Amino acid sequence: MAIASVVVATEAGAAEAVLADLSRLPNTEVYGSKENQIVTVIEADSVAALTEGMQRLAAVDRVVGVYPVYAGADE
Amino acid sequence: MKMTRRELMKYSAALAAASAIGFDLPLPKGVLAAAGEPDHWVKGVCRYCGAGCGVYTGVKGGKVVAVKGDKENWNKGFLCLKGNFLPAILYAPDRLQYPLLRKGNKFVRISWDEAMGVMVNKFHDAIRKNGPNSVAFYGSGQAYTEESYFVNKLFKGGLGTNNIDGNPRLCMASAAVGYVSTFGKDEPMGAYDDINHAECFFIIGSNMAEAHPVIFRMVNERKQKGKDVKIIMVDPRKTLSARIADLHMSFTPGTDLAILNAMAHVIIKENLHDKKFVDKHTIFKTVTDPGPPPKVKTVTWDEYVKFLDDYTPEAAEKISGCPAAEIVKAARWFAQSKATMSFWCMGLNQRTRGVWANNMVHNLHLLTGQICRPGATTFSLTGQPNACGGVRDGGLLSHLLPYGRLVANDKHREEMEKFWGLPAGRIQPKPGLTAMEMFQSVNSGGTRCLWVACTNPGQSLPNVDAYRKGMAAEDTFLVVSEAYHPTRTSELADLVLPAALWVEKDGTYGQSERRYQYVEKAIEPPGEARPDLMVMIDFANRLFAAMGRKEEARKLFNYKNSEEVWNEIRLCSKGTAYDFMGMTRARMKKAHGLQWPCPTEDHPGTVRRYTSEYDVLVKQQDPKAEGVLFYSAKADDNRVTIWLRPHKGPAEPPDAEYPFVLTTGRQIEHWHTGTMTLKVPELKRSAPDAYVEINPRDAAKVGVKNKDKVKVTSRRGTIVLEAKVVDVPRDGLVFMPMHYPDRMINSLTTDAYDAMSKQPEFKICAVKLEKV
Repeated sequence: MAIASVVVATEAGAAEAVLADLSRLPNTEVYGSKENQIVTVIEADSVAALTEGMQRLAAVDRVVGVYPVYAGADE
Repeated sequence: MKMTRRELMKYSAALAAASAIGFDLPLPKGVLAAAGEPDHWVKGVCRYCGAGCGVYTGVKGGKVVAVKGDKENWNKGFLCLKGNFLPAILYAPDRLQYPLLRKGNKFVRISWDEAMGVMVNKFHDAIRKNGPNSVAFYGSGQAYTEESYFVNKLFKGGLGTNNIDGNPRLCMASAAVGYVSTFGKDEPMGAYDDINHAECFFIIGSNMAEAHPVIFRMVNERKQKGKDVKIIMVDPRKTLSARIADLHMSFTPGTDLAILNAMAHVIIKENLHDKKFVDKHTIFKTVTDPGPPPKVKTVTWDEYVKFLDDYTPEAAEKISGCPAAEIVKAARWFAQSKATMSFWCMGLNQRTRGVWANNMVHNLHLLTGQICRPGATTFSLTGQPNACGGVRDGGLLSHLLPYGRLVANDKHREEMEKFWGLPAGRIQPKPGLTAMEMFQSVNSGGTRCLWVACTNPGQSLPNVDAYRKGMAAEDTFLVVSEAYHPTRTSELADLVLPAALWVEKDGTYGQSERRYQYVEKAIEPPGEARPDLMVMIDFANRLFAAMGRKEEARKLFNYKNSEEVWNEIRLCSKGTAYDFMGMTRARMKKAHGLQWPCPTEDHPGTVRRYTSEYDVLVKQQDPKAEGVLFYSAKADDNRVTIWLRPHKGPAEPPDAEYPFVLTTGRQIEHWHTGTMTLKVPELKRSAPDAYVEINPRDAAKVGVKNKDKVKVTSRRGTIVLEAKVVDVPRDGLVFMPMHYPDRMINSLTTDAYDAMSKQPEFKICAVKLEKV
């Protein structure tokens, strides 16, 4: 199991819309948000697979940045 | 409700991200709230690293049931994962509650009176037969300032031996000697506030994300909010910290000195240096004979430039494996940014050339004038909560006297003898044994009695097995003051004294940015555990009575509580560069830390030193001074030193027989030897055991897969650990966390040390790997 936390930055005023989109993504959990930044945790089978999860986040409409903060695995 | 390991990992990850944006992520329900809401909150400081986060402990029914970050302190209410789980360390089942005396292979409970009697007899006997240098004290950057100051006075002033050193010798001595040799006085001149102004961060030899998460939070936040803020990370592992870097410079371990010289070369070659600053504030020096004592020669700018000719980026690439283009880019970012802030920690300090590496980081700041302005500073991170305050500032190292004074300096000894009311000549002129010398002396029988307080050398010394034998020897009397038993040190002791822990006593901590903070007592210690200060005072008075020096003891050791010691400390600092006369206990109780110098009670504390805009001591030294004045370097006419330091590799590079480099370090869940964090169920579940981290390419070479058992062997020992195959360390490098008492990774590490700082090279030794 691999876990990463990222700060997802959105366009001004787009946080709510992005939050709704993130809630529909698999293996993705939102812990909270502040202004246009969303604390998000993603899970994957391996650290390498986390990259795909981050790419999914980056592809969400009105997301302007995905900033990894932590990535770790217990396998 | 208990969190699963997976939930804990996710929470930990979320906490890191939340911290980065200043979002206050609450603890999961049920984690600490089982005992209910606290009756009241008591102000203090976190017990772990040198960041020195302000915390409040929540007390209910005489027990600590919660902690929360202090929102009015520098950490703005944030704590790291470890800090959030602090209450559990107080209630671990192995808390020691009574004095224990060894009887053969067993420990038996005795009274405090008996314990003090045994200890006094042993110390008195050793001093009478073999002189004061046959006894020693090994202290800690976790003791309160008052404890370290008192025991320093007892040994150096009272007993007349300088054989008193501390575990900061293992973690930050190179930083201390680096500051002193470059600037004339120890400690960073800047502050965490500089993070809010920096536009370039140069981070070398530090995994801040795991070892100093709340400071890293600030860096991360600055990166998120600032425009085009650059982060350069110099590390042979792609650590969690490196993941946010704009430029991650990997290199062959032990070759970063070549990189630092090459950056200086580029800065001068491309005319990026600040000539005006260099001309006004610096001189250049080189060592012509390493001694001892070393012979130092002042040289010219031209000679420095010529010296750097050997360190073109291409030459440094050949030595280090770091691409020349990256070195050039780093040099340009460093010099051209509006404000550059450097951070480093054990990766530079725990090296046989640790002082040189420190000097060379300072060189870059001095060459470019990236210093003494908001955001421009050179900042050593610290491992322990009071290594700066109690040990470096307070002088609990064998070559130091309190507040910038040196044992080897006649005037400084005279000052302290006068201040302490001692007869002239009481303080020995020769520095005492440093940490490794002390344990060598224990092995050879030179040290007959050793008192270890608030630290765990039986696990934390390099090449530890060699020194455990001496500590366990029958002819050495080992006293260990500890909150827990057994530890890997207390199990070797003849006498174990139960210590009050953290908020079970009061005292002062001084952290990395010169911020002193008062920790208020919140609860009573368990059983018969006592604050170390009270034990030290009791021991001093009893020992002097036994030696027939009761009257002298009455003058020297007449304190009722920590406040009386603190008030003497304030006087001792008066008129020095550390001056904290303005930090009265009453003021400290209200304040959220005060940064020295703070010479008067109406002084707000000093965010940045050596510049007239912020530091009141500048005008005191020179009323006409405007801007930067390095009054710390009086001997060189207020000019600080740019050192010519050549590249030199580690003491034990890899070879055909031992082809891998082993480096040791920290995990976000744990702290030091795990005596505290491994008692926290949530942290232990998250990170239960040590491992050897190896990258997939090297793993394939030795036929190891993830989770295989691997035998790791150095010239000193062997241990077997599970492999963690992950693309973090560079080729040829393996990593192990240092925290686990059942996995003595220091059986492998080398005890070779820096000739100047006497700090061992934990970070580099040669090993071989075999699949079990």
